[in-house]
Amino acid sequence: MTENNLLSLIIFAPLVGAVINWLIGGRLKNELFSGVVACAAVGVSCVVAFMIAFGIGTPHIGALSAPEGKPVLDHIWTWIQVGSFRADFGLGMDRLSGIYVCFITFVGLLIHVFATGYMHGDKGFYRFFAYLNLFMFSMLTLILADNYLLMFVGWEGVGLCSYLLIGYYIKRDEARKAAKKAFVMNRIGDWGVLMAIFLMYSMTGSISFFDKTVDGAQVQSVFTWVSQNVMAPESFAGAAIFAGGLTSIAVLLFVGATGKSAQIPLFTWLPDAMAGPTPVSALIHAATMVTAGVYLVVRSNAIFQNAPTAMFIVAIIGAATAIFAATIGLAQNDIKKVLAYSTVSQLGYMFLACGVGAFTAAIFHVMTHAFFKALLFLGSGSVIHGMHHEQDMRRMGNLKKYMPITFATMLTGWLAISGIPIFAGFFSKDEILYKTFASPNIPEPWNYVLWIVGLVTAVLTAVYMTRMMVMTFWGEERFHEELPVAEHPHDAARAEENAYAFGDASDAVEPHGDAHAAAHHYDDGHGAAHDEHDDEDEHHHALAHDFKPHESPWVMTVPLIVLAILSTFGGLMGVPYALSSLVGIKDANVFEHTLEPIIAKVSHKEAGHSTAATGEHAPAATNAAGAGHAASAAATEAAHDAHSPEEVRNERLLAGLSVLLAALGIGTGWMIFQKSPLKRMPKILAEKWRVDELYNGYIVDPITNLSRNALWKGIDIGVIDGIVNGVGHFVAALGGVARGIQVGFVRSYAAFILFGALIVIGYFIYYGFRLIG
Amino acid sequence: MSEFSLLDYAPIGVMFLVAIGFAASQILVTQLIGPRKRTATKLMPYESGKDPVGSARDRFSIKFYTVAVIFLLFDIEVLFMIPFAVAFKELLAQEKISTIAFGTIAFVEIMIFISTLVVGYIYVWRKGTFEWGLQARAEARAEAKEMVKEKNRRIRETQRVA
Amino acid sequence: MNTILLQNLVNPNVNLPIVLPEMIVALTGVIVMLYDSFVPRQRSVTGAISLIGLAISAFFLVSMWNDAPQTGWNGMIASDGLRLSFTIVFLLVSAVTILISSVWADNEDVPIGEYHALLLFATFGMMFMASGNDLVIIFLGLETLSIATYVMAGLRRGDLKSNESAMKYFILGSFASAFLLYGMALIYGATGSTNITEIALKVANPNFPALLLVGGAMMIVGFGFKVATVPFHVWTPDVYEGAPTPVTAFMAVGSKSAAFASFLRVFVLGFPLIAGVQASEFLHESWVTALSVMAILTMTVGNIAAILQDNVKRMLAYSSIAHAGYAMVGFIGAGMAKNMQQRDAAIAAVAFYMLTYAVTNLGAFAIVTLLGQKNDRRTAFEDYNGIGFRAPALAFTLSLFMLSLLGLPLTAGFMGKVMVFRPALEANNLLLTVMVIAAAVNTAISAYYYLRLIVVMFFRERTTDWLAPRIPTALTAALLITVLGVLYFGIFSDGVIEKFSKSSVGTVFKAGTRP
Repeated sequence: MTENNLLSLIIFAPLVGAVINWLIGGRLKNELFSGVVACAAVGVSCVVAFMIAFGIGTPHIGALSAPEGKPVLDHIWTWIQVGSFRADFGLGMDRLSGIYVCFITFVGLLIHVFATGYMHGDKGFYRFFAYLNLFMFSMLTLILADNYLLMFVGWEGVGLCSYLLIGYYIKRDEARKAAKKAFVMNRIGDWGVLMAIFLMYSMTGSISFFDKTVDGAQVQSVFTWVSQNVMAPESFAGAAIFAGGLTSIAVLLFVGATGKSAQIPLFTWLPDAMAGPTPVSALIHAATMVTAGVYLVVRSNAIFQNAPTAMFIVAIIGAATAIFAATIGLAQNDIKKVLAYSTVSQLGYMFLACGVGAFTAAIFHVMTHAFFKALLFLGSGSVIHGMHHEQDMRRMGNLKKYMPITFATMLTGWLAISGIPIFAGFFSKDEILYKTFASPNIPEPWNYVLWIVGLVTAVLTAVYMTRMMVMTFWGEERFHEELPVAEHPHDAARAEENAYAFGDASDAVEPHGDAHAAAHHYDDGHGAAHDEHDDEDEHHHALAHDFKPHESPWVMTVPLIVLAILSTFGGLMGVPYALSSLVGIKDANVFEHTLEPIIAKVSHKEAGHSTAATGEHAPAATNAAGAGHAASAAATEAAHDAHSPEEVRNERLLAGLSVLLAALGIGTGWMIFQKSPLKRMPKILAEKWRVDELYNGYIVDPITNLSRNALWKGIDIGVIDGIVNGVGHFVAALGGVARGIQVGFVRSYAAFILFGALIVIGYFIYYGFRLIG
Repeated sequence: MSEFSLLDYAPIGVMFLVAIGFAASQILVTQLIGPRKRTATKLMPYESGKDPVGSARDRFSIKFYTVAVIFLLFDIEVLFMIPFAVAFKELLAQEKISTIAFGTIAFVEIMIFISTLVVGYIYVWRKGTFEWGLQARAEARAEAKEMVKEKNRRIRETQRVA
Repeated sequence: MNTILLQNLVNPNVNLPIVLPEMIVALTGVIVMLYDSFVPRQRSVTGAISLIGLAISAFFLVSMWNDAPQTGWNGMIASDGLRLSFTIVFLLVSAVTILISSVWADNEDVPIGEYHALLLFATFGMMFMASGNDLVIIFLGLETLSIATYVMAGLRRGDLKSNESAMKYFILGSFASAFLLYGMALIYGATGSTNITEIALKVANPNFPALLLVGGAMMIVGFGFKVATVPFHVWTPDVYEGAPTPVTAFMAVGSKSAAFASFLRVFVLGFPLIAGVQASEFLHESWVTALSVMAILTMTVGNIAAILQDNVKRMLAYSSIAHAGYAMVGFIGAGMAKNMQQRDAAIAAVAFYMLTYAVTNLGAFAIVTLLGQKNDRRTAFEDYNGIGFRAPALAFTLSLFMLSLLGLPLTAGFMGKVMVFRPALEANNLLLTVMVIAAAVNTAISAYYYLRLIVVMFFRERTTDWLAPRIPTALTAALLITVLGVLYFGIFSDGVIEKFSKSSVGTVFKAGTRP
């Protein structure tokens, strides 16, 4: 156990930045000051994070290379200590949080720099950066917390900052409503996390992540408890979910993860969240916050591995979300919406990886995704900036001529997400697909089903990303194109309705989507796309006739270039053996080796379910019959080191297949959209499978009605108010009695005291008599 | 001191006799040699200047009260010195034969006690509690001034007439 | 004659260091008194002297902190956990009260020097109530405190309400003191000693067991009056309302904690449960039961009456009654502790509760003083209408105090409540559990009137003109101390509780089961 007090600097530097920006920046209103403070704060975090993670300039070995994954700890203060319950305000950086912190601070720094250019001229510049720094503080608290409760503080903190930043353009209705929607959806998930923490404490007596010694007291981590007390995984059955054991904890944690990471069924907030400024979308809704769910699951992998039912649910939900969001992404016209659905879809991949036991692959994908999705979002931000806040891809085209740097960098992002070899996305996505295929955790034939879903999603991803690139950068210039007012005339109205449903119940009495609103929201009928203050709304309608898009300033392009480099080469950190051995390198998978110690070793007694720990390299399916499921633990151990030839062959084959499919997807997309970029997509996809309508119709509206008619008018006014008023009257009557004593005459008071004294003394004398008699 | 003997208490008896005799002789002497001008006011029983017959709910000056309280306080506090004085000699003697400085401690303590009294005394003095006639004096002065003025006025009048 | 005297001579056991903090406060009082009599026109010098004196006293007190529990002056003075933790609370209360009263003293024509001297003498009395290990010392401390506060309550000489307050307090206070003194006399009769340590030993085998019980009952009346428990609370609303607000704050916080300190010492340390001895068992059972019932009544009556008040000062008076009830929960928990560690922890909890209550309530009264203007004219709820956004700093601070009084987590009030309820729950006794439940229900009831003030401040429209008062420096300091206290004790309570949890003098403790 290593102590390093510098660790607290990582989280507090952004907090200080936020405070300075809020208190001083708000008065100065100087963009240079606010920008420098915010970037410097994150810069400090970033430098310290790398120092501690790699052991540069610190007396001890870096967190990423410490033996057995021992964490670097920083006990800041004892937060709560009641009885056996203990929660510290303490930080810990082990290999998992080390990786997270490094890429979060680094990508965060780039996005901060980018934002100084993007937000130029905004009235709330300081406010934006204060929120952004506050977000960094919360996010780093979430990641570096050394126990579940403090992590939950960060978890709520990022939810709050997300709310603040989505609703940053407070004058715009859809931004406010999207913020509210995101918050409510997240709260549903938070319930799960809280319940899981409660259950966990009652079961293990601990909420700590690490074994540690604080104030001379030994603190045992949850995971140590699990490894010592849980002999075999819980049974694979639906009943286990409600048994109150590890499976229940795992499922509840996953409920939280679905909220934060926008998985089915709680994903609808993320696309709406695009109403926030684009750097926010890049930072919060692509690279960092939304991956908190993955972090939570991977952090709790010791619990999940003992809960096969929960693992299965995670895998199914992840795969379903991946393909579902990808189909919607195909039909969106708003550039940010496409990326939003793409994010949901990629998050689905990560959960799929978790569900099949490939935790390191999940984290690997989190990291590469952070690079390329941040890149794509920032690229789209650059495009939007250059197009004077036009987000509709139908009014773009041929931008490569005007914005060469943005184009070149987004090109790498596109290739990365599509899964073209060498680029970062290829290795991580491919690893997930292979691990799914070879998963020992998932009962047959579900692993194949999931694998096929993953492959189809990969193809779809390539298609919709190609569509986006083609519509934006190639083809003819459509800057002045008049678009049909509201392709789906009722869409705008419905979008309003969606938002209302998440707004106050009292709002809903206003006429829905009046004509004015319908006329305004001509774009994709979603109504949440204008990324600008309302006083500049006119931009969308008529770009000047001599309008030419322009390349963004260097503060915006430099982060793009850095991210493009990372998106290109970042994947080389985790090249699996099967592929690296092609070029003669034996041990290239640095990433996986780094994360190995944090993945719990679970001894599975049940035959047929080989260990998830060694499952990283599990032999798994040697052929379609999947004989690997019967492999014994001993065999897997051996296989771990040996890389059996069959396994390597399989992995290479599958990799080849996915490259092929990616190429196919890109080709298809190119063929279709190069010819007709404005091709109408299936309506049901453009309408996002009508999930919002489903939720509104079956959940939100009934609840609103129930709330208004039964709960408010019936129970609240009738019963509760009745009781409250009744109690009030009763208490008032009682109080009248109590006040009646206060007549104001000293003699009455004395008499009252005497009376009380007589009762007390009488009571004692009664005892006295008992004593004597 | 083994046996009780009334004779031991003779000094107290003598003390009583002297006290009674003194009081009686005083009354007797004033009766005999004092000048006698009987007026209604003089024949009233003395009640600190108050009318002895009248309503009990009459207002009287707060000064009576404060003086009475201060008198009582100091009176009783001084009373505490008597046991000290009685025991002090004994304690001094004790100090010589034991290791504990009984006498010194008692002396320091009585000094603290007295200085506390002195502090209280200084306080009431500075606060003007003893300034009995302050107001009366001021009134008298004002009255005298008025009288002088009146006198001068009259002189001027007579001069004018003349 | 000489020989008799010699045999009775006892070593006076002079132990000056042990009473040094008390002596410094008394000396400061004397200095202030003399300074004031020679320089009558001063307004703030005596305040500064008083603060310096209190600080020096606190310094010596803190320097004694790590000493083992000890007694001096032939066992009349005890220096233990109870004394140290309560005394530091008193010093804090006194200092903050001086800071608060600067507002009042500036606005009105009051003899400020006398006021400071009286406050210091009252503090001196309070300190002896906590350190006195002898019934006589405790009584002297109590009277020193009481007489000073009687005068302070009536310090606003031109105001009839203030006069009325002082008079009522004086008459009823002496009435209660009589009970207390009579109780002490009976205890002396029953045990042959006024020393609490010796009483605790003698409880196992008293000379007159029945006298012990009656004496205990009488003392409950006397202390109950000072602590303001139902049914001995009747004086509180009138006295608190009439007295100048800073004095009210001092009485509600200082006198109350001092009374709790002696109450704890006499009952918990003096009347322990000695298993197998009927007298002790009866005494213990009867006082625990009587106090539990009184605690429940106190909380309930205080809260319910507070709901109906239209005057903020009076509301706070009733609220202070309710808080006495909560503190008694910890007190009874100390009485029912199963071992010495638990007992001392419970005593520390009560001290900590008084500390949290002190910072919160002093802060609230500071703002009430400021907003009350001259002669406390503006203390009705309607005077607070809509000031929330006109004086945001004051309103938010007052809201914080209200939330702390209510006991919201992350405020001192919450930690205080948690600490006092815990020993009562640990006792595993039905009556005590019922008491804790009653306390929880009462906390819920109290939300009504605490939140009402916040609602009034922020959501009511103001019909009349109102200018936010300027906050004087001294009051800013007081508010700073109290706000920081509320937050600090709410978030980092552990360190303070640990400091308070020192063992107390009073080793008679034999665990036993109730009959």
